[in-house]
Amino acid sequence: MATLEIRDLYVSVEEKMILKGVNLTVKGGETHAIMGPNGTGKSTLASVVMGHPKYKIESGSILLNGSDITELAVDERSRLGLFLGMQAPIEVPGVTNFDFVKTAVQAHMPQDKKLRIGKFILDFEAAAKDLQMGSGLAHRYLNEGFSGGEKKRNEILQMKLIKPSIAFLDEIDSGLDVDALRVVGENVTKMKSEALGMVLITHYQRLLDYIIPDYVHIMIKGEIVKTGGTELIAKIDVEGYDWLKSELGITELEETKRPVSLGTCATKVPVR
Amino acid sequence: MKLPSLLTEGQSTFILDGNTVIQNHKAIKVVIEDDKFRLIMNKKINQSNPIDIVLNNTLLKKEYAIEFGRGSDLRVNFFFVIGKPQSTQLNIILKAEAKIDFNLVLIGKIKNSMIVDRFTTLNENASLKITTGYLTHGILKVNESVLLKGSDSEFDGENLVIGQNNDEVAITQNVRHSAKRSSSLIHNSIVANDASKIKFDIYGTIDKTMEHSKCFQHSKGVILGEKSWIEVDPKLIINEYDVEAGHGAAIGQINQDELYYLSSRGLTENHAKRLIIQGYTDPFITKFVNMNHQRFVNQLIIRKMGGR
Ligand SMILES: Nc1ncnc2c1ncn2[C@@H]1O[C@H](COP(=O)(O)OP(=O)(O)OP(=O)(O)O)[C@@H](O)[C@H]1O
Ligand SMILES: [Mg+2]
Repeated sequence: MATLEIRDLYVSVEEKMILKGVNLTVKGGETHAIMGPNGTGKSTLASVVMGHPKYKIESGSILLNGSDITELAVDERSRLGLFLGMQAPIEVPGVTNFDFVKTAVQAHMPQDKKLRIGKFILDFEAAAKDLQMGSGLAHRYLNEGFSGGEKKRNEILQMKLIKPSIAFLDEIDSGLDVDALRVVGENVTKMKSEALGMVLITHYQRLLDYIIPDYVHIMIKGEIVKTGGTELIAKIDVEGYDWLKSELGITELEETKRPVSLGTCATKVPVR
Repeated sequence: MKLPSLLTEGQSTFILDGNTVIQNHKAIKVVIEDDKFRLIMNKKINQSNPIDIVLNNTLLKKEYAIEFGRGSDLRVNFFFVIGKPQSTQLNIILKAEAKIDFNLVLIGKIKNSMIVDRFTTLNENASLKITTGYLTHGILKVNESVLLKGSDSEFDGENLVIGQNNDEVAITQNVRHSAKRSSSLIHNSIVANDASKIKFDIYGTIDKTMEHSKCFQHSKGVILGEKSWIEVDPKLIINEYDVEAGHGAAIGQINQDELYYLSSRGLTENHAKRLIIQGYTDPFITKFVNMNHQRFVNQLIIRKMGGR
C-alpha cells in the first residue's frame, strides 16, 4: 500500500509563489478530491508532485513511501508508481498511441521481464472497449487531433494499463459529454482498491457522483483551507466559494498589493 | 556503389545501372534517347503491387524521366542511388487522370557535392502522392519544381531530411499552380544532428485566374546538435483572390512539453527523445509496404542518426 505525503510545500513559478504551505497525505485505497477556484494552484500541485521542471520547490517535501522524491526525475517518479492524468494532455505527432502506451507499460516492468505482446494487445483492446474508445485511436498519433473527450479517455486508458499506486487526475471530467463522464467514472471507480490512492481535481459535482471521494479538500490561493467529506461538494456546487472566503476571512486585498503586469494576457483556459 | 541485397532481391525489381538495364520489369517500357532515359508506365499495366525501381550509378548530364500514362493508377518505390556525378535530373510526368503513389529515397555517399534537379508535371485530373527521403551523406543541393499544369490536379509531397556530421542539404521547392482548382500540399520533416545544416526555400505560386486552387506548405524540424541548424523560408506568391493558401513552420529543439509528457509515463529522457525523433522518421518508413524495404530504410535512418 503506497503513501504519498506532501509536507508544508511552497512552490513558485517564475518568481511567483503559487503554493503556500500545502499539506496532504494520500494512502492506497483512499480517494481525495481537490476543488477550488481557477488559478489557485491545483494543477500546480499535481505537476509538482509529478516533477514538472517548470516549478521550483521553495521549501517543504514530497515523500513517497517515506522517501523524499523531490530530487527525482519525472520518469523515475512515474516508475515508482506516480501517475498524472493531465488537464491538457500533450500531442506528440508521429508517435502512435499504441506504440507509446506499449513503451510506457514496458518501462514500468522490472528490467528482467519482457512484455508479452499478445497479452498486451488483448489488454489494450479490453481497456479501449471499457472506455468506449474508437478502435482507430490506437493507431493514430498520440493525442494528435484527438477530441477533448478522447484525450481524457486516453489518459484513463494509460492509467488502466500502467497501474500506478498514486494517481492524480486533473480535471478528467472536462471535455467529457454526459455519457462519457459516466463511462470514465465507472472505469475509475472499478480501479479503486488498496493498491491505488487517488486525487481527483475537479470543479464539478457530477464527476464526484460517479467516483465518491473519502475526503474533499478546498484549495484557495495556494493553500488547502478546508477538508471535509462529500457534504462540501454539494455546498460548493450551489454556493460557490464565497461563503468559505468570508468564513475564513480571505480577501482579495492580498492580490492587489502585488504589482500588476499589464503585459500578461496568457490566461490558461481549461480544455472543455 | 554496390547495391544492397535487400534492394535487389525482388525478382521483379527494375534495375538500371548507369546506362544498362540489369533487370527488367514487365510494366516498364524503357526508351533511351541521346540525353535521357525514359521509363514509361501505362494504364494497361495497372496493378495493385508496387513497382520497385532501383537506379544506380546515375550518369552525368543525363535526364531520367518517369512517365505515367493517361489513367494509370500505380504505386512506385524508387531507390535513387546517388553516384559519382555532380549533377543529375529526375523528371516525373503524370498524364491526365493518372493517380500515382510514389516513394522516393535518395541514398549514397556524395563525393564532393551534388545537385539534383527535379521536375514534376501534373496534367488534368492527375494526382501524385510523393514521399521523398533525402538520406544521402554529404553536400546536396536540390531544385525541385512542381508544375500543376492541368486543372483539378493534385500534388501531395512529403519530404524527410536527416542531417548528420557535416551534411549540408539545401532544397528549393517551387510549386506553381497554372491550372484552375489545382491543389498542392507540402510537408517537410527535418532532423538535424551533429553539425549538419539544412535549408529549405519554399515557393508556392498561384497564377492569375487559377481560381479555387489550394496551396499549403508545412515544415517541422528538430535541432539535435549544438552546432546543427535548420532554416525554412516559405513564400507564397498569390496572384488570384479566390484561392486558399497557407504556410507554417515549427523548428526548434526537442519540445519540452512532449518530453515531459512522455517522461511522466516512465520513459527515460533518452528513450523519450528517441521516440520523438521516431515521430519524424516512422511515418516515412511505414510508407513502404514491403518488409525488406522497411528494414532497409530503417537501417539507413539508424545509420544516419549515428547508430543511435
Ligand atoms: N509558467 C507560469 N508562469 C506564471 N504563472 C504561472 C505559470 N504557470 C502557472 N502559473 C500561475 O499559477 C497559478 C496557478 O495555476 P494552476 O494551473 O495551478 O491553477 P488551477 O488551480 O489548476 O486552475 P484551473 O482550475 O483554472 O485549472 C495561476 O495563477 C497561473 O496563472
Ligand atoms: Mg488546473
